[in-house]
Amino acid sequence: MSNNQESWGSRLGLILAMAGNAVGLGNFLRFPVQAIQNGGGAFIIPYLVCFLLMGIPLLWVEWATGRFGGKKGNHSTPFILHELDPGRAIWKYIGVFGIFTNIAVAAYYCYLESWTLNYVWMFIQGSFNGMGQEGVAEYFGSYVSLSGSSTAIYFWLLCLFLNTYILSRGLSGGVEKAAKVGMPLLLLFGLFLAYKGITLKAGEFGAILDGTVGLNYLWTPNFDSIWNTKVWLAAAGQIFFTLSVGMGSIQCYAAYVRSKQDIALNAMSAGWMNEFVEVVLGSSILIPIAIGYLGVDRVVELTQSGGLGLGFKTLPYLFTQWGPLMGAVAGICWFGLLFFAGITSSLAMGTPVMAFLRDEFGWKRGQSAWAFGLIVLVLGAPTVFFFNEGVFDEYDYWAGTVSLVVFAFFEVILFAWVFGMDRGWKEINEGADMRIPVFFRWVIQYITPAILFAVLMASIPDIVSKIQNPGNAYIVGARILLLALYAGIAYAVYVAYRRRVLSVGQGKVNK
Amino acid sequence: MSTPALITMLLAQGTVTFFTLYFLFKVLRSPAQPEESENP
Repeated sequence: MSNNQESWGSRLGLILAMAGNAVGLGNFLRFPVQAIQNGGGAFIIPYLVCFLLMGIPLLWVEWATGRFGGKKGNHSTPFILHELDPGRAIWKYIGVFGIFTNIAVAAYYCYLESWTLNYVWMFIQGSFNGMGQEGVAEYFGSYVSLSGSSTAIYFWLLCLFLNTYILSRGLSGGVEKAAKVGMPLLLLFGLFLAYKGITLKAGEFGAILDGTVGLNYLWTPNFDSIWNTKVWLAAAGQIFFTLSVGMGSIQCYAAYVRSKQDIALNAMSAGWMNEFVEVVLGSSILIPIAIGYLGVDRVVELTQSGGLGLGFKTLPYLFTQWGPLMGAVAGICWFGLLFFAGITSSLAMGTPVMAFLRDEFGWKRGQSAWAFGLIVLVLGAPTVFFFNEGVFDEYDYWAGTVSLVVFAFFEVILFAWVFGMDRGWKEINEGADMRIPVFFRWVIQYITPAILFAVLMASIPDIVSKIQNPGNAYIVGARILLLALYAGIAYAVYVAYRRRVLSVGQGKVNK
Repeated sequence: MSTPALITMLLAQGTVTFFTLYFLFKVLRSPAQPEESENP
């Protein structure tokens, strides 16, 4: 049935694409804020423990299930999960999360990505020079509220087009090439900005404090915090979002790995690369520069609402303090690296959708890429036009937060307890270029599901509260759209399954 | 920077950098795997 015969061009390309999938805007905007709010330097202890006990095991589980499904011609989670336990129909419909999440997240993420592209353009033009801090913040406000200009819409369409075009070029010809260009540039821009952040001197270019004051604030450990459950949940949440686990995109990428090719070492390499970008670069840019200009108290106040405001409303103004040339270079590097972080992730969101259409309905690569672009256009439009009404955040909450945890919990249960740890462990180790400590077998079976269960249970009060207090009609509309999307994909999976059953039946008759 | 902050930062960033480079070099030094037909 499948005409889906793609594969990765090179091992390094695969690792860069996987790392690019994981590295996102959160590495630079979310991690440092989470660290500040959860014990400073001490946050790294629960963070790395969660990486070891939840992040790495989930990476191996997702790479292994992906490659297992790929061996049988399945490249999207509904039928990858079905392959692990063909006797139960339910897994196909849980696997729907692996397509739903990618579409729903891409719907708002591409818009976010387009902001970075617009800001790069603004810095190239020198538009922020002489604007003042209030002016830069107001620009962001008017940009997202679409007041007086359609620029945001044009950049959003441009971004959608770029994503769709690259996807239509295929895995090795599009996604892999984008990762090979984007990831090295991201690292280069990040290293440059980290150097500028760390070496920022009080009294130079209007800075009031050294960059090391910000580093000191971020890394000073408050060890009391590690006894706080909320800090552990924050660390688990950060690991979850930063690695892009629970989305279905890792399984899809891994499904195109050759059947006996290593996954154990590849997963570790891609996972640690993401950690390097987050812990080393992510901690050395936003906070040191912001505190250097605004002081600790002001930055703590600004980070109450997350890192997005600091990154888009404040940092552009601070860059202009470095003079027209250096300010432009810094601005292009900052928003350029955010753009590369974003696009390498959104490309990973398109691939499972395309894989499903190609595997199950025999669509051509170009057709499935443009179909993905069209779906994201339709579903993303409410996040663009009703951003201030909370639609963007609503998508982010249900698709980009809750769905990930639910899906990851079920997939690890399926892998460790239904597929079975004996087969699962064999699958992870097949063709491995590294020896995985047996300790992880026990972790995957008991510890990772337990942590995921705890994260899921801890989210329930918030989920209930959200359901009970929707806020406004736009948010209710967004929820209906998301439910309709899930139902639509589930129906497509049902139709695809019927087609498979029919084709097998016809095969038998022909025999 | 205060000593606890500096030590925490160097330990965290040093650990992450070490493992990133270690696994990357391990990948680059692994022998190429044989080509095969991928999907049936």
